[in-house]
Amino acid sequence: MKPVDMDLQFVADALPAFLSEADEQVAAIEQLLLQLEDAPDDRDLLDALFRCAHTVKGSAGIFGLDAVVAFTHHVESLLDRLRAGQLQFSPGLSTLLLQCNDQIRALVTAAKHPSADDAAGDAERSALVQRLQAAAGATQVPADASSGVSAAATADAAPACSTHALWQIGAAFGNDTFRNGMDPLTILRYVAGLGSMSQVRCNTDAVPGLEALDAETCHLAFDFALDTDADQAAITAAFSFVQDDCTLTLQPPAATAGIATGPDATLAVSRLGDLLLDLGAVTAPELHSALQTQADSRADGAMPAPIGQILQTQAGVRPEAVDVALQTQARQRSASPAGAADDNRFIRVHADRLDTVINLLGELVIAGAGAQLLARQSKQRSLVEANTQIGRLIEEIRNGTLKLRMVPVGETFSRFRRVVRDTAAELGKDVALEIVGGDTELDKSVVERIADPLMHLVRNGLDHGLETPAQRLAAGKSAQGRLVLSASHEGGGILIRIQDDGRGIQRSKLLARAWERGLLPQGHTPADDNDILRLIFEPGFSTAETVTNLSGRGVGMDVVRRNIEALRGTVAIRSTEGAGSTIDIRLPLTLAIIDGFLIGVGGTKFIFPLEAVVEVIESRPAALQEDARGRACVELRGRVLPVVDLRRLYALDGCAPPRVSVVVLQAGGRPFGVAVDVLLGQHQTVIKPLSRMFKSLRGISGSSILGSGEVALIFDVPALGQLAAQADSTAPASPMAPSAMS
Amino acid sequence: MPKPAPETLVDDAALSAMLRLPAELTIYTAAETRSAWLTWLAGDATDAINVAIGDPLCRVDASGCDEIDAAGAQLLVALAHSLARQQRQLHLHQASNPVRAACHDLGLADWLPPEPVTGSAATAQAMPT
Repeated sequence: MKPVDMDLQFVADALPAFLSEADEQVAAIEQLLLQLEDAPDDRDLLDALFRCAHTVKGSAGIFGLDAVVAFTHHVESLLDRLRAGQLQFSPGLSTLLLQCNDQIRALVTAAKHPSADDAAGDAERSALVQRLQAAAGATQVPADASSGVSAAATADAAPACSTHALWQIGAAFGNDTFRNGMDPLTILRYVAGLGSMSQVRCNTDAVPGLEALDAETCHLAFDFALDTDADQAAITAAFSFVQDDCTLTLQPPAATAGIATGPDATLAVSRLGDLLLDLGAVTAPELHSALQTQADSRADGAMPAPIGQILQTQAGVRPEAVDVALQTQARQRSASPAGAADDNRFIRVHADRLDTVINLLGELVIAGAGAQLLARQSKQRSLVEANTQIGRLIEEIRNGTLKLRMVPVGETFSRFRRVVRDTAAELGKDVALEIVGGDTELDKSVVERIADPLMHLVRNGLDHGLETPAQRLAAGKSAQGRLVLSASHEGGGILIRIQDDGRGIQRSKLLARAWERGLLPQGHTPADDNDILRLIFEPGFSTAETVTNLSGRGVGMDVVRRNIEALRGTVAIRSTEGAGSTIDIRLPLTLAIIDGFLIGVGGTKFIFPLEAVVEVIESRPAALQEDARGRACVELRGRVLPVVDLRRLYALDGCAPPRVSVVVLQAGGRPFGVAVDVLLGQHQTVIKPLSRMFKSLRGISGSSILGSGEVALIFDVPALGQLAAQADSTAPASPMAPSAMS
Repeated sequence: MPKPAPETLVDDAALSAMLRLPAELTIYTAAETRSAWLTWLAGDATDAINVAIGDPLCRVDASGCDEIDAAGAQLLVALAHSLARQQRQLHLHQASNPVRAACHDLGLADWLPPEPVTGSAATAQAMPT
């Protein structure tokens, strides 16, 4: 294979990784822009934004994606002017940059399918480029900027551009500086006299602790910016007294502006060589030749040695200096705001492989339980102990493996910032989106599949729920609407809540629509308010007077409900007319394996998710009291606790033992009890879905295979809670309720 | 942010244990100052209490220092490093103008309290109750 072919092959292999990374960067750009809207003066955000754009451009260049490079370059130029303070970040610019970002995303996507080239996109992009240039160019002539704060800002910056220039200077003083009678403080003050010095940073990394310090050896190094019209010779001359004792790095203004060339100026994370240069441990020519060596070995196809190592052998750099530089680099990396975007860069594993592991793990858990059971029956103590140990390890592996799939739901949430921003603008509404609990973790597959339903609900809230500023003011509310997206753990699952303070759901309109659509018999009003609200999730429903292109097609809400239910989740809606609506989505944490609590009733085994179990009341008389409505209940610390009798609810065989235990469960804030015959303890539960035939079974969410080969049914605790609330002695619920009732 | 320690601990003992910068903190005094500070570091128990109650600031009285150079500043850097190992943070208390200026010029202003010099927090610290 010729080297060229090899290169092509390499590029082709690496392309998917680039594409996925570019997607992340584009997403990061969007988030950063939106954050900048809230904090336009945040320099770190701006820097991070620039780095993202720069990374996209840089990597696209490697893969020869010229369209991406060319377009991103214009974006980068504008960002550069923003960074230089020649341009003020404004909502208008933000919109422009967001649109550009969409185009970058489109271009990156197009790279996946090279044939899919679109003329319309090209036209749009060239229009955007013109706007970018106009935006950047408008400030090149500060006299044109006629009014306001931005004019003042540009006027300040402009003279600096034309007459003065910002030098980035690094000065690392040699060990003998003090002994030679030189004082870096005096020198810095002298240099400051050349112009105006700013951003002085003392690099103290090379200074040891008091214990190890020789007070007369100088370890100091400084970085600063110098705004001066002096030339390089004049600046160097200022350091002439310490010529032999000082390593000077000068970065002329051009390099600061031509960002692409200066890693120091653009990247918060400096390269090792630069750091060593700053520290004075290596000279520029030495560094250059070491880099050349590294490049040569790479060209030979060999694995190149780290630059630190090459410098040690080739330039005689002290290992301590390399260590210091490496530590500095590590610290910069962790402190750098770009870390936010870099956090997403992990080892990429194909999801299928992970699924295979998790499936195998499920089998392992079942097999492990089987082995444990046999060991117990054999009554050999050492075997039981060995099996217990294996069981513990399996549990740890299980937790670890499932954690691999867990991702914070916030990533999905933050996507909505843009949706809310754009949608609200389109509808002429002013909406503040609040995100709460974004770090709550959820199984990746659940997160992926919940994104679309959530999107629909958010849009729906924006479109139908929240009013325009005028309507809000008329209703005595603040002009800005509030939309809160929150996630939290609740009872072994996750609760995602979408809350708005809009107009709420008007029952009368809803009912009228339901009658019109034949969803309810004409004139019939369900007694339960929840039943009225639940109509929203019926197929073919739309209440907005004008059908907008956003959410009013009426095809969404039933799909939303179906998607959520497919994830073993539930959706519930609450609404107060005039005050807003709340939609609660409850989802299981994972679709695969949970910690269960195994119980037995007669010959049947059931499992409760362990997180939902609050406590257990052991062995009480089987005869339960009944409250006024004929529901079974027990008294728990002075309070009445409704109790579900599983034997009665599911018409189980076998007669009740004289004494039963009550498992106290918590779902949706209300505790209730379940009467069971025996408690069998904690059990690792591999969830197997129920077949279609059993989908209508109320209160049951899945099944699991026990070590003995028996099947145990897993309870859906919230659904069981509802049964506890409504079950009464007059109507023993049949185990197979018709699906319409569920 | 210098937050006042609970009253009971801001007493004479704490103030007397506070490290004072010498009048001259330069290359000429650096070696002897270093050994003095090392002794202080080893015997300083008061601040250990502050660390225990969650106050990591190690306040150093910088009011009496009227001459400082880069070697002196480097000594302070070394002190800060040593303190950092004890999870403590160097903080220059009532810094004199020369110290203040040197810190600004050398990019070490983090050690100084926010302007003005005698902020309310500093006053509260200085007055034993």
